[in-house]
Amino acid sequence: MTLETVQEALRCAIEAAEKLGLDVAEAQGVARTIEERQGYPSDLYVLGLVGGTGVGKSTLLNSIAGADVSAAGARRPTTRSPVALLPSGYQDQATALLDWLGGAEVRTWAGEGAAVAIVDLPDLDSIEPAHAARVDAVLPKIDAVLWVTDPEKYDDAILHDHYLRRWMPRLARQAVVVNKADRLAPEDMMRVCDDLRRRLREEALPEVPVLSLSAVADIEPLRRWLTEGASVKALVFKRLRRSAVDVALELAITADVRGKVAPEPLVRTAAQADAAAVARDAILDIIGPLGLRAQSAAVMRTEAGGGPVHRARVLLEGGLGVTAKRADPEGYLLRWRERGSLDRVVAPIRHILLEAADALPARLRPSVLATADPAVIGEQLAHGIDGAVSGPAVAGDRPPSGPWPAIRPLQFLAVGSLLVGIVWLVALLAIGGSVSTGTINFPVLGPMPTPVVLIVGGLLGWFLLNRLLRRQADQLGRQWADSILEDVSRRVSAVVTDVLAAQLASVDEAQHALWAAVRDIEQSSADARDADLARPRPEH
Amino acid sequence: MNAVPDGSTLSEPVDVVSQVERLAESAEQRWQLLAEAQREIGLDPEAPVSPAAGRGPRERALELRDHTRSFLLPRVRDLDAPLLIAIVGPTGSGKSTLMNTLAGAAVSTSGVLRPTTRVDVAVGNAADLERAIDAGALAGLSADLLERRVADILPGLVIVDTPDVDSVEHAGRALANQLLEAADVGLFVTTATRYADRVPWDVLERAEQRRLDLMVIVNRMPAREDAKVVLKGIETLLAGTELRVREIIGVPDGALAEDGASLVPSAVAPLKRWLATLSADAAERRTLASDALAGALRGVGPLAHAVADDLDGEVRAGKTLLEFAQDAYADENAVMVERLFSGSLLREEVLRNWHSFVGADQITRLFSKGVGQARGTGTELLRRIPRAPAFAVLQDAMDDSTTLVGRARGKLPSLRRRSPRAPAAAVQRGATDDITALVTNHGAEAARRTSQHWSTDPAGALLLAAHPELWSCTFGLEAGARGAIDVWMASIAQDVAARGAGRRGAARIAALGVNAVAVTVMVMTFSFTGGLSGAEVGIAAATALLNQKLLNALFGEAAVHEMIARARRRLSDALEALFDAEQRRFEERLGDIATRERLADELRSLAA
Repeated sequence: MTLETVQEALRCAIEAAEKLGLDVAEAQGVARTIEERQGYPSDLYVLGLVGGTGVGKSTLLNSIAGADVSAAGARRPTTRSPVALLPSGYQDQATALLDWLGGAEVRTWAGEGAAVAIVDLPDLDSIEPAHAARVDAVLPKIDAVLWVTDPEKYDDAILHDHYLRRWMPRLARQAVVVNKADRLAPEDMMRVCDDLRRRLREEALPEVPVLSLSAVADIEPLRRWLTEGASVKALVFKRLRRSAVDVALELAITADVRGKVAPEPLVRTAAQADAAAVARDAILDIIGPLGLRAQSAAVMRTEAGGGPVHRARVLLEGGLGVTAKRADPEGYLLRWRERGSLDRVVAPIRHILLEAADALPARLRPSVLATADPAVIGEQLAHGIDGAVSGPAVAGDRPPSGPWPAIRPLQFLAVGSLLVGIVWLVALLAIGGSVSTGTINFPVLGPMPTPVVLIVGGLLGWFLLNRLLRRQADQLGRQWADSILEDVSRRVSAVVTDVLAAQLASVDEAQHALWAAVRDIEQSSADARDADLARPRPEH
Repeated sequence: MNAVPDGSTLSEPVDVVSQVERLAESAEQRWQLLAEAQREIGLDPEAPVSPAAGRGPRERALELRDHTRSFLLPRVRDLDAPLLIAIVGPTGSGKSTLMNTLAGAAVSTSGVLRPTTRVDVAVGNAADLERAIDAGALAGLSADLLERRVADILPGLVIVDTPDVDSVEHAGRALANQLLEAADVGLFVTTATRYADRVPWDVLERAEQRRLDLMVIVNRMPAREDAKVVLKGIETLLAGTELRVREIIGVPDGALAEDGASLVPSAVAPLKRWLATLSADAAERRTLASDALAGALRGVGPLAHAVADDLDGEVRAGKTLLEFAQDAYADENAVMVERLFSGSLLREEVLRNWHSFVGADQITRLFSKGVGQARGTGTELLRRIPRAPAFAVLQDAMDDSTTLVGRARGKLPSLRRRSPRAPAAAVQRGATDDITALVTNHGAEAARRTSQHWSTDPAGALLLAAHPELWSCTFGLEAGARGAIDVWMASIAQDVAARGAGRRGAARIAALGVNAVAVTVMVMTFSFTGGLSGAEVGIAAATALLNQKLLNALFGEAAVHEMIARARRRLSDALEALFDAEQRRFEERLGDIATRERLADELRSLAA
């Protein structure tokens, strides 16, 4: 895996972490350093001497150089300009690189064939804060570190808490030098080095060589260490990759997405479906099944009532210029807002967002819950519901009625017989005997006058037919309303699911993206068979 | 208890004792408050932190507590208690070796592995040790962190070797700090390579503040010229402070006695001589003790002020956070109450149920005239009054009220017949659901807004991380809202019953059933907007109109207005109380702000 891919993955991880509201300043710094370091020669690596005041960094540098290149003294903390030890022949290429590190006085060094620039850094633990600040500024940029300490200081809290724990995982080449071996008995020195190794293991830090030596007497172990090792290019590459891995892991741990398995979606699908169902029912309650049924029944009644009386009334109203109120299921649906508030709908959605946030690490919660404003959710829902009730197919097909065509002539017949009966009766009363009065024989009642039979029959028929029509219209209306509701319910379901998904998707996606990016970066180190990167990381 | 004697630097001895006692009490309270706040965010206040981390409010609170408890209080009560001499210094500087040299025996383990000393090691004769541990400077130390070594040397003095102030074992710094607060004299041990280390100087900063008498011992001094450089360097560093240094003693490198666990006695001769004098001369000890006390009393002022400033900071931060909470809850409460009575709270589906009851002819006859009334009366002959879709929950309250009205009219049996027990119905459930949803939504939103604010504040974010439940309302809010609504409904029923009794409308109320009338009032509470007219369409408006006519007929317009206003007030009061309880969750997380304010004032006045 190339460094470009690592950089790309780190960029993705940073972007995702930013979306999750995490602090990415450090990761950005690492990304920048990786970018910048590649602009400088990679056939030379920079080794920094880092340690507390008085441990003998300068003396060590002098011993390596075989000459007094750095002033060592008894005064603490030592104040001197930074010195860089360069193998001869590398000055030209190294100048820019050293400038990038903050500049140093360049001394050449016969070297042992190692392409390494050795810089001594100020102390990290004195009362002079500027010294530690300089160490902090340079550490991210150098390729390798020689941690220098001595039997007095090897267990210092500053060294371990602020430096080793933080930087050791990010370095590809490093060693710890326990200086001043000349001041202790060899077996005591061994015990000190073992104690230091134990401490490093305790802190879950990578295995690194612990070199016991005396800067004033014998630095042979260090010389050996300096000349051994892989190619410089690989070393620089490995160091950059490691800092990427470490900082990406840091992000993954903060976002709680570290692991081989992709992060679960924030909310289980089942829980999401349950919440959506509750929300949908609440929406349907507002839309109002009872009202919709009444509206569609009214429409169907009007349809059914196409008989003679209805027509007469319509004619009359037309003549008088009266506009009758008409039932209007579509309009009724559209006016859903007037019939209730979305509070009961928002509640289950809010609830599920909270549940999702609860499972997240504390630092991610604000980013999830920032969107859980009921007013915003309500607005989204309202917009969706508007769409759901105004679609073209809503309230589309009215159910046809089979018996109507048959009933309608019967209606006319009933009204006709009523009218004929009335006219007949009126004629009888007005003109008298010249109009014939037929009689019809009924089983129990005996003979009845025909006009009366016509009137009574007409009335009875009219009433019964009306009853029949009404019942049928109501039933059809209910059917129609139910089919509309079914349709709306389906659409509303989709609306609720969309709104829920929209709330969670961005976080889910960002989490997944971060996980995938970190997995890629980790993969890159697995490819390189960096076994020690799989070390367990202590919780911070 | 001995009072400070005359002729000492303290002019009003008794007053000083009581003042120091009050200071100790305030310091203890301050520490308890801080410990509580730390536990609130899931931290262990006693857990040692890295010596490299520096001093913060926690350290200052501890310092003030330890200093007043372990030094000021014992010393102000008893000037003749044994002097406590504390050896402090960085890891590997040779503290234990010095201890062994002074004790004349290997009492403390020294060695090459760091850290060598993990607990305090106290040396002194039996009586002195007991005195210091039982009632004096060492009383505040837990027994398992203190090793006693009885040795019959230097009576009147107790020498304590402390763990390293700067090792990876973080507890060492805490122990050394604690002892430094209790000591009468400090022996600061460092080395020629170590003397400019940051952490020990952080520790000395405290010695400077409390005006501790100090001896500086520099181990592993290089030879000749370099030794001068080192001594000069140390003097320069000390000159930049206000430390009360008695003497700087350089110990040459390699001045170890044969046993390897102590120095050759001549290396620290001046120190040994001085300690011997102190041990032999009680008056000398007393002078030193009273000087140390006087210095410490002057030095405690700045610390007390600093702690008071910390308290002020906490009060400010707490008030800001509290304000967020108060604002959010007040806003949401206002919006909620407005929406509650905006006329559109109840779903139309709920009103539809009610409309079919209140619009029935048998009911409308009560306020209709002419034909309508006749028709209603006619219908009533055929059918009895429809069952009101009213409240099951309220049945008990209703029964009481019905009995009340019934007794007043002496018509109980017929009432029972005409107004059957109302079934639990959609109106009650629907109204309660709607109100509850409104309350929980706004309650949850207030919590969310507060939390959103808090998450942008460092202290608030910590509290939220430890209490994620703050992000939403409690589960109790919904139950509380339902309970409050039930109680409120019952109060309406009682209102109706009380008004009905002895009035002309009592018969009508009895006929309808108190419960039905109560629901009418309830529905009207949410739909009464004052200026309704018949021209408005829709079930909501129609129901409101019918309701209003019915109630006007039963009680008279003015009484209805008053009843509605009272019902509204009662409901919004009840809901506000619920919101207050919700908001208190945030308040409780912030700890006791008032006590902090009082403590800050007290500390300042005591320090003055």
